[in-house]
Amino acid sequence: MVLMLWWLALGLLVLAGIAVFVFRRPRRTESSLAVAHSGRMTQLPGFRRAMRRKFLTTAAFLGVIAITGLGALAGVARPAWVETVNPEKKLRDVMLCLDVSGSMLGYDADLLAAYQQLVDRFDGERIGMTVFNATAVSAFPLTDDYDMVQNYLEEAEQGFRTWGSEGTDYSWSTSPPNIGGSSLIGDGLVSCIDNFDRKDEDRSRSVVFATDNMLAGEPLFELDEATNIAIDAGVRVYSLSPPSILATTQTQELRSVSDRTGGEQFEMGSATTIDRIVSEIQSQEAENTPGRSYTIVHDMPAVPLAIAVFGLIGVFVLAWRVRS
Amino acid sequence: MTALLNRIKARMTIHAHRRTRRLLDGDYSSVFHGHSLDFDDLRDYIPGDEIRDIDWKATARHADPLVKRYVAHRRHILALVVDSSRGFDAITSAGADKRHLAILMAGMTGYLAVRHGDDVMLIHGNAEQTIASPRKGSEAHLENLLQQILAESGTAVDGSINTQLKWIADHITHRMLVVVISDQAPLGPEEEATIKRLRAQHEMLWITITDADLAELATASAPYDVARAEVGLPISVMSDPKVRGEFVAAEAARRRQRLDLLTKLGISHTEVADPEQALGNLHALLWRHRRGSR
Repeated sequence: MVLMLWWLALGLLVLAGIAVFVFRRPRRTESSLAVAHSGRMTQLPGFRRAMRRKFLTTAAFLGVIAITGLGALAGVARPAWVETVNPEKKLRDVMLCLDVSGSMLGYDADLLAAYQQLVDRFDGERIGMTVFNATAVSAFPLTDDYDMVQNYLEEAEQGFRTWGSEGTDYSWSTSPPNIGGSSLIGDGLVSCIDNFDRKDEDRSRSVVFATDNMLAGEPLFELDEATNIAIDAGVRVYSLSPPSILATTQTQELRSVSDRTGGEQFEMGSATTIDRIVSEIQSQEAENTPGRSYTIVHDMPAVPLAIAVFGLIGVFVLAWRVRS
Repeated sequence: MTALLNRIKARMTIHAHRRTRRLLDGDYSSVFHGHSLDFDDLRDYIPGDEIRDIDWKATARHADPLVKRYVAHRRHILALVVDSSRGFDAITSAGADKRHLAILMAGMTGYLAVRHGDDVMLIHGNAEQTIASPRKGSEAHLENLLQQILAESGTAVDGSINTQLKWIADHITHRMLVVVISDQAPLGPEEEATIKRLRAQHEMLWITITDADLAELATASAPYDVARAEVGLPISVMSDPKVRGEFVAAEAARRRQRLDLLTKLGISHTEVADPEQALGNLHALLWRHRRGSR
C-alpha cells in the first residue's frame, strides 16, 4: 500500500494549514468590545453548561472536519497497491516446429499431445507453432494466450488422428503441388527460426524441432546451413525425434544440430521426455534472460473517498445543527 | 489643556437650560446638611484673603474691596473617589466608554463644586494603589484631575473601590462630600464595613456606571474581558435563551443587593450608562440626597 501522489496531498495539507492560519478568527479587531466583570456571566452554572456543550459540539465538528479532510487528502494522494511483476519468463520464446511429412504422420498426433503437455508446464513464455512439409505454415504466431494455444493444438491433434476429416488438416496446406519434394527439413527449420518476431529485443529463443529428418527432395537450405542460421539468430534447437532402434545418420545429424546450437536431442516416447525438455529449456533461459521487472498499480480509492463523502455529510449535518 | 472640562461644560450648558442649572446649583449647595451656603455678609478685604473671594459687584459700589464672608469661612471639600482601573477600559450597558463616562460624572460634579467656590480633590486608583490629589478650587486643577483619570487608561490592574475608600478612612479626618464613581463590581461585607465607617464621617453619594449587558451584546461584536484580553467571550453561548434568563435573574439579584445595601447605609445612589443621561441622573441624585436624608 503506497500513496502515489503523497507530495500533492502534502502540498494541499500545507495549503490548508496556511489557509487556517490566515483565515482564523482574529484575536482582537477594531470592532471588538471590551467589557468588564465578565465573571457576572462566566460564573453562571448555566453558562458553564452551555460552554461545555458548545465545546463538545465544536470538538465533534472539528473532528469530523479533520477526518473528512484527511480522507479527502488520502484519496487525493492516490492510495494504490503496487505489484511488481517478475518478467523473466515473459522474455522467453518457444517455437514448436513440427514436421508433418508422410513419414511423420504416424507420430504427429502423439507429438501434439506431448506439445499440449509441454504447454501446460510453461508459464509466461510465448509459444508459437510452425508446421512444415514441403513448405512451412505458421499454425499460430508467438503468443502467451495458452487457451488459444491449447485449442489450436487440440484441433491439430484431432486433425492428425482423423486424417484430416475433423480438426485442422495441415498435411494438405504444407505440400502444395507446385513445390516438389517433401520433408524439406532445412527449409522447415529456417522457416521456424524466421517466425521469431521482435528480433531487435534481447530475448531467449528456442525451437522444439520435432522431425525424423527424412529428407525427400531438394531443399533450399541444407540442415547444416539452417543450423548456422540458427546459431546466428541465437536460437537453441531442441530436437525431438521418433524413437528408432537404429542410431541412424538422421538422428546423428539432429544431435549435432542441437549440440551446435546449445540445445539437446530427445527421443519421443520416453515418459520423462517432456519433463526434461521443459526443465532444460527453463534452466537454460533462467541464466540467459535478464531480469527486467515492471510494476502494476492497482488504485484503491474506495475507503478514503467513502470516508470523505460520509464525513462531508456529517459536516453538513453538524453545520445545520450548530446553526439551528 | 482644558479640553476635558471644556467639553463637560459645553455638555452641561447644551443639555441644561438655565432653570435646570439653577436647580442643579441649588441641589449641590444644599448637599451639606446643616451648613447653609446662603449669603451671610461682606467684610473689608484683608491682605491674605483670596482674590476670588472678593465680591466685585459690591466692591464696585464701595470704596474698598469687599470679601464674601461665608465663602471664606465655609469652604467645603468635594472628594471624587474614582475607580480608574482597567475595568473602566470597557463599555457601559449603553455601549459608551466607561472611563469617559466616569470622567464626565466627575467633571460635572467637580465643576459644580468649583463654581461654588469649593475645593476638589481626587482619590483614584486600583486594587494595588491609591493616588490622592491636593485640594484646590480652580478649573485648571479640576482639568488636571480629570486628565489623571484619563491617563490611567491602559492600566493592567483590576479595580477595587474598597481600596480607595479605606485610604480615605485612614488618611482623611475632616468632613467632606464624597462622591464615589464605581462600576458594577459586587459590594460585599468588606465594602459594607468601609462604607459604613465613611458614612459616619462624610456626606456620601454613589454613582454606579453600569457594565455591559453580556446577554444582549450585538451578534457581530467580538467581546472580550479587559482582564483577559487574549480570550474572547462567546456571543452565541451568552445569548442562548436559557443562559440569558439566568444572567438577567442574577443581574437583577445583584442590583437589588447593591441598592439595598446603599439604601440601608443611607447613601443616595444613581446608575449611569449613557453620557446623555449624565446630567439628568446627577440632578436626580442630588435631589434625592437632599430630600432623602435630611
